[in-house]
Amino acid sequence: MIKISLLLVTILCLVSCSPQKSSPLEGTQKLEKIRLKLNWFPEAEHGGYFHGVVSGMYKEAGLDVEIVSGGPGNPVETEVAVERFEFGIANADKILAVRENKLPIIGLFAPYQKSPRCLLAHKESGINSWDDIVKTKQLIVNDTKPYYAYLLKQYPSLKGIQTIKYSQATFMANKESIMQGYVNSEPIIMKQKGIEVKVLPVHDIGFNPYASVLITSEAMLKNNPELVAKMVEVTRHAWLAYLADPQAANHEILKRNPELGNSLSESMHILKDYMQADNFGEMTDQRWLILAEQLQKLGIIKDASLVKSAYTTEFIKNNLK
Amino acid sequence: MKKYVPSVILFITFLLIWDLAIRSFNISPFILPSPKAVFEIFADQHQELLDATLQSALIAVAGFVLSILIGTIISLLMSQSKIIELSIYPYAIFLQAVPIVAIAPVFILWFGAGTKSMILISMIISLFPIVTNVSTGLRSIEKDVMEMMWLYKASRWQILWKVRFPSAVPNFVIGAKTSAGLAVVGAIVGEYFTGLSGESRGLAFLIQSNQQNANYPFLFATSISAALLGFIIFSVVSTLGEWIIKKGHFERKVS
Repeated sequence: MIKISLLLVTILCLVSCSPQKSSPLEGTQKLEKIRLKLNWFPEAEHGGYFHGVVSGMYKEAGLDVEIVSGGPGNPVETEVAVERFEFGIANADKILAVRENKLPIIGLFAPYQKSPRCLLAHKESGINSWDDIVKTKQLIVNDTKPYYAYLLKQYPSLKGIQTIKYSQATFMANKESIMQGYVNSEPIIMKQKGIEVKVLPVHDIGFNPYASVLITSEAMLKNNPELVAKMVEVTRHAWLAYLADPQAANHEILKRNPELGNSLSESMHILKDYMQADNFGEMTDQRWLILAEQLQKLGIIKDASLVKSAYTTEFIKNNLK
Repeated sequence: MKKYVPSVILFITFLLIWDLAIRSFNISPFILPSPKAVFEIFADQHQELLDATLQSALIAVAGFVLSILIGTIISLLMSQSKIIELSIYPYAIFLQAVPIVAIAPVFILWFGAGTKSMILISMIISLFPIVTNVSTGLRSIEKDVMEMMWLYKASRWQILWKVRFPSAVPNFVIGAKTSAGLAVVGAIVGEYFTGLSGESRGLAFLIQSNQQNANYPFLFATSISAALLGFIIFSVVSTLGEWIIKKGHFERKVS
């Protein structure tokens, strides 16, 4: 009997003690597990987050960040709202559109100061400026997005133009079509495929929501503001480090999304211009309000005042450049 | 009237369980909206839902009718010659296995974005039940009957008209009932790939925009509208089919 109890004690001791002894993190703080849901497949647009992971910046700050790819039709905002993910990425117009339906998510900081959304036209189509776009025969766009509603308001004659689901093949086949894109993605891909395009950035016609905003849920913000603060702070530093030296993160992005090929480094150079700010990632009340009023006019939200609860600048007070 | 009682009771029970589940398990309205929220959408947005449903209905019905015409022609061809049948049938089965979401972008490439492609996508998905059922019906003739027709030196046309056609009618109705539901699926898939610019918007547009804007009660209401549309088309086809079989005294066979 005694022997058996001794054996049990030994086993218990082994089981309970051994993991601690072998843990290299003994004495350091426990890592907080964080899951970040991207708005798309990994690309330069997410460089800062990948830099945070591969450089170890997150780990040093006590954050164990897992980056989960998104894709078409992934409801990032909802998954963050119901706390399947601690953080996610969404554009400012989308944040307001889902807040209209009471989704409790909050914007934290905005790496993209200018919206990278653009339209692409074939050079040979003779479409060289915004005023020419009414000449198109086909719009390869997501017609449920707010920017499309804005486009129709600016150019009412586009209403009669057929819209079709995003497809690069369709765009390449039809010289008279116009396709949506991101300035740091589709124009580069088309160039590599030998297709000359004219790029029309949507911010040029006055629709300029912050893009790729880091979001979290209201619950997360209430229950764990320190963690949110830490995530924002480290991520901003990681972004700046990425913009200075993107190599390591790009390597990881390519591993996760090999289709990008050599468009990635070129894409990253365009980012710098779009992320230029006095305080990296800053968001101003004025910009948010302009967007909210635009969306109200388009009927996407009923009352522009909902913008007040859609974001917080609480965590981007200290100046970073 | 009595035959509807069980399904109505089930419906009410279902709504009660739905509502109870949300309350007792504290389910987020962003995972499952309450029945009340969905009903409110039906009340407030009925015009938009009705317009979208009618838009999709037009495409589905057009696709369905086309599939009946084309399906019957293909089956007729196959019934006329063993060689034609042997050469076409394997490909019909093969094509049936290509997922509709893979066919849709190709059709848009060929026929252009717009209503035409949507109808064709709806047609292709509802075509095969017609082909398989009708050709089974045209072929499965009792041996005695065939021998008698040969004995009387009936022409190919007479055999087709007097024997094969009547034999195929019940199978045709079975195929049409399956296709009716599929036509709605095809219409929505077609719309999904070619959004209808600006003005006229079908169910796919509502599904997409409400998913994007996280308006889940509206999303549920749209899905229910799509299901209702399929149900209505199915019911009409089914009733009409039963009536034809009864009226013409067509013999039902197992396919």
